[in-house]
Amino acid sequence: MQINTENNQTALRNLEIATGETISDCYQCGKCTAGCPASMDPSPSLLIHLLKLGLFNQAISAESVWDCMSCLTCSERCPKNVNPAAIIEGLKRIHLNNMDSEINLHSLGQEFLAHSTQQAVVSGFRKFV
Amino acid sequence: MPEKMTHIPYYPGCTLKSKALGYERSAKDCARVIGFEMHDIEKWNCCGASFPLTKDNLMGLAAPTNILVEAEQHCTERKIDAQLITLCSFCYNTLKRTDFAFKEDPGKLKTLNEFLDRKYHGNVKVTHYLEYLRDVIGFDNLSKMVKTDLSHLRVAPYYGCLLLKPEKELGLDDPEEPVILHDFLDALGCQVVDFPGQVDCCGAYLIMRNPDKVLELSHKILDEAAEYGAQTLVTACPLCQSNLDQSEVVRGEMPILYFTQLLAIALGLETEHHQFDTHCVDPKSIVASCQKFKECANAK
Amino acid sequence: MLNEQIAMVGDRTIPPKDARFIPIFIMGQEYKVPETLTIIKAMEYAGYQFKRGCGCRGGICGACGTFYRIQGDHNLYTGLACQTVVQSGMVLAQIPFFPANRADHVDLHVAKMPPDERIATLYPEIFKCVACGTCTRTCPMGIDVMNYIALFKRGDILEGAKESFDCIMCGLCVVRCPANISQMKVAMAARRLAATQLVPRSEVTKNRAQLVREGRYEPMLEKLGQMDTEALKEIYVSREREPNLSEPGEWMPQDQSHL
Repeated sequence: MQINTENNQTALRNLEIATGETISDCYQCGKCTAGCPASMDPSPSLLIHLLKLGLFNQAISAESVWDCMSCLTCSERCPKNVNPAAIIEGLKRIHLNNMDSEINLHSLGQEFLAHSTQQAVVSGFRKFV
Repeated sequence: MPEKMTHIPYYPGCTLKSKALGYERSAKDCARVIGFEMHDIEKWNCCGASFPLTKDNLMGLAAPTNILVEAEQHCTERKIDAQLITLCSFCYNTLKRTDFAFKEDPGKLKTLNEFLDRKYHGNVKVTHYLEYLRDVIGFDNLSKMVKTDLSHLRVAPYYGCLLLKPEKELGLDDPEEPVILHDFLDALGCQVVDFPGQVDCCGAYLIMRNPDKVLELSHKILDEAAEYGAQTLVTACPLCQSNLDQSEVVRGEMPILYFTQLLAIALGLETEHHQFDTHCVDPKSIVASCQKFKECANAK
Repeated sequence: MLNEQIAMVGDRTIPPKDARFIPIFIMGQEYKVPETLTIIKAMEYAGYQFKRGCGCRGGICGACGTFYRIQGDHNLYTGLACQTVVQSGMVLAQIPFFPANRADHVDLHVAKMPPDERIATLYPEIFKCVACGTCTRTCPMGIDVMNYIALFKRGDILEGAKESFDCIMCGLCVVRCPANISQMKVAMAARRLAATQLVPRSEVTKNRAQLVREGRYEPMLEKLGQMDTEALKEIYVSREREPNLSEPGEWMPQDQSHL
């Protein structure tokens, strides 16, 4: 058994306000995880579970938040109308707002920047930089 | 051909002006034959590609709002119904969801109008090219315009994510079991390959962080399509096209086409400037096979 | 109250006799300056001397970019200090320099990459633009900065280069960009690329450059070099001149031996 010693109620509330989602609505059916094409690990439902337990730091430091590609499968299938993709993006944005970007712009190869479609670069920059 | 073309304001999006020129050109050429003319709106910027999922991120709505304002002005000046047609799934998704967000929460619109110092009245109806074909032209009418015999071609429709999701806001089709591309292909007279991967994600912008993952996901989609006997796969999104095409080079030889490129072939148009040659997997054989059938039919 | 006789250094500011004195704020400090002066002259009137942050005084060099607010107005205004007339209650901040990212484009001319891809690789940060339009509202030259960034994003380098042509590199857009783009540097690279790769090359210029390279003008230069000042003055004054309004290609000099 794990005892939660973190006190992150404020952070959690801020995340709920930012994303406009009610995290406590989730009843852990796991449909989001089942449908996730990115096979996120920790999975979307586990991330939400961590948030519900108040283990905010664990959720935000999970590597898998960066694996999400906002395909919205989870959001579409959620029976409780929770939007896991939005919550994951909320977690990403906390990193990005602290200037803690996932991708170093100049580590992207010339080859990639020259030949990839603009929508890939623009979306990538919105989500990772 | 109708005497007067319907004037439809069109938002191209960045990719369609450079990496996916063939998509835009084929769409515009087809539109002219079908009876409407797509006019670029005068001034436009990138739509931001991904709609901001967090509700407080109003900055992400600035770009699409600018575009909606321009579209509205374009229509007001010409005294036509305020609408905007798009081709790229990302642009369609972003613009339509932005418009929806304003309808849902007029406060957001007020804030953005004040911030941008412009006035969007919330009147623009954002339409996808496919949606226009289905709802205004009608697939039945479209099938009557087909001039090329495509009955030998087994085509897999690939929808991707952002064309359909979220259904509540886009309302184009069912996100799990869509039929719009199926019906479209049916109208063209080709054999539709219904395969399970048609709404799976190709990996999208993950190409920037984890290209291997994109390769894996795209392979899965392409494998499924091939397993169900598809000769080619059509899509409506330049990013899906690019991801799938680049994976297909490693995997096999199935060309990935834009649905409008196939439409142009079906309508018997000149396809030389539709940039088939920029695809990684050369669709030459597909294009050639169709032309042959057309000639046969004409000979008869 | 400052006396209007006080040292009027710099560019000999002489305020009109009956000029009213209005308050302006420089670095938060209030000064009373005569109205009708430009910001730069008003600051010199107040005792500042410019060693940097001032150049041509003609609205072209871009050294004197200025942000200001008017007291009681929430808007932030921009202007060139040499072109903007002071207003009562103006709170000024001079931005003579602001750090901007200049990508290394040494290989600009030799690169085989097409211009649009070149811009995308040199300045990928343009794809972070959110189209907030702040840059356009900031530009003291009235350039639609956001539009040229949008044009670069979609790969239309030539149009973007044209759109940005009036840029004087004051850098005020760079100060305000929430996406940390250095718009003016991107536009400069684009104009260079457009000029070298996209604009049609002029045959006339090419031929003339060839003549120069072949040494056609060396003897003439040498001859000039040997002349004394008076003789130079004389041939300068007596030179044939193209009439101001002649049509291109219509006028030719009498003496064509130097062409």
